[in-house]
Amino acid sequence: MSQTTIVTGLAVRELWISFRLLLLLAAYVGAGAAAALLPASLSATLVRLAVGVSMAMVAGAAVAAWSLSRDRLLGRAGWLATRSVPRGTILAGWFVALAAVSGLGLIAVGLLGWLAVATPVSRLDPVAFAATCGAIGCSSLALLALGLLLGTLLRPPAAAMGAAVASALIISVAWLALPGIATPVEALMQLPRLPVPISVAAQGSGASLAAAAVLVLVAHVALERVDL
Amino acid sequence: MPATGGASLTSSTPDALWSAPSLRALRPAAVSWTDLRRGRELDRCSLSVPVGARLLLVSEPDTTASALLRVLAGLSRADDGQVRIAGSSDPTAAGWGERVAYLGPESGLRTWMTPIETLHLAGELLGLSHDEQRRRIERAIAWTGIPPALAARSISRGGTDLEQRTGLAAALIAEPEVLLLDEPLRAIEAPERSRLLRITGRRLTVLLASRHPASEIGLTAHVAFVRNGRVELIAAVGDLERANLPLSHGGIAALADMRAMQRQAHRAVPA
Repeated sequence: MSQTTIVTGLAVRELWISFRLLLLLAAYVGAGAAAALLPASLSATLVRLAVGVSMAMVAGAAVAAWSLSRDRLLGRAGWLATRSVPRGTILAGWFVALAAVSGLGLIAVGLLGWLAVATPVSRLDPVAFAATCGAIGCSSLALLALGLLLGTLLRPPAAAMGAAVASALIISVAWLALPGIATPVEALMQLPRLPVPISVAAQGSGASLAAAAVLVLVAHVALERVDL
Repeated sequence: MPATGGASLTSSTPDALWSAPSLRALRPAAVSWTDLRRGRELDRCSLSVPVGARLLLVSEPDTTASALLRVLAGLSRADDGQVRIAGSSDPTAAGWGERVAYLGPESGLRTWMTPIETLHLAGELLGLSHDEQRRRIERAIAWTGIPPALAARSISRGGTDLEQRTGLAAALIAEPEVLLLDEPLRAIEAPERSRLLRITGRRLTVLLASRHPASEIGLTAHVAFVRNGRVELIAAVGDLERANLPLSHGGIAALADMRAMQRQAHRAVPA
């Protein structure tokens, strides 16, 4: 078994035992349930879904920041490092674990969301809906990476708070202040009105993955320099 | 006395050769560091510790010895300087990574795991086979005296005592050539702590950082005193007795002052 697999499994168990895994899943499922269970018009349901998913992604970033920072502070990351586990592997383990949990949450929210919006009158394209959900997943990866970067640099409360505030700011600024660009959550809200939804989703996915890659790289560089 | 500037032989020498008289005379360096700098803690700090040495590290201020061990363990980064362990300057698993074990004041263990799980994790990270893991785990548990009843329960239930024993066992699983001990096992009663830290092995080099040197009697043969970021004294523990000084922070500092004065007086003698 590779060290990355071992560290990822350890991170998932750590999330499970500390209830952070349940918190994250509950945030995503709650967003989907709020959209699916409360009757509303199609546009209102999509807005509710987009806001709920955004909040879950913010929670994901905070959990990521808290988790890595706490691992560092308690010497757990150091324990792994003194067993020849490269620091990059520790970061990768946490990233994959958090991405897997967020992915499960997004699948749940996507299914619940589709149940809520897929009515005979709405005539939403399932491929476009799935592509938009995929783009939201890519956005969540970028926010997880941001959380891990802050978790590398700050103590747990400051890291979690900073990640939540920064994520919320990024989502709201991109949503409200950039009218010409449809971010993935914004695209979900405007899905029935978008002329080329799959193209918008692909653009959003690409931009999000690029941002995630840059943030993971910066977090890796930072983790190589900090004390464990 | 630990030799400075020891030969750069690797300690991957086969066991049979270690008993060869010529190699014992050479005393290759197990750990050496040169011109280490880190903030205000380390200032061009250099030392070479031969294979098999048991060295007590005491410092002024107290935190420097710990900082030095953390740099050697790869937990903190030095601003400058070079570290060579077992003849290699490569800290990855391919270099000296798996030949060194570190045990600090905080165990760094996940206390929701059981000691057995923790030791299996340590074995898996080292890439040990199942049989080898079991053999080493049995030996480590026997040495550290982890009660069988507690070995399968979460570490948090056994308190700090169990946590520290498990930390030591996890360090020993690697069968390290160099053991870096930073204020280890403070939660364990003194006699039992002394027993646990008398780890046998002719090839094993131990560096023990302590703020309470008096509690380390019998654990090390030599002492190094780091002041203002540099190694000021390397002496046999017996040298303190001969100078009627106790094995304490004050005693070691006094011996360092005496040696410094002797060196100065020696230099002042006209040719």
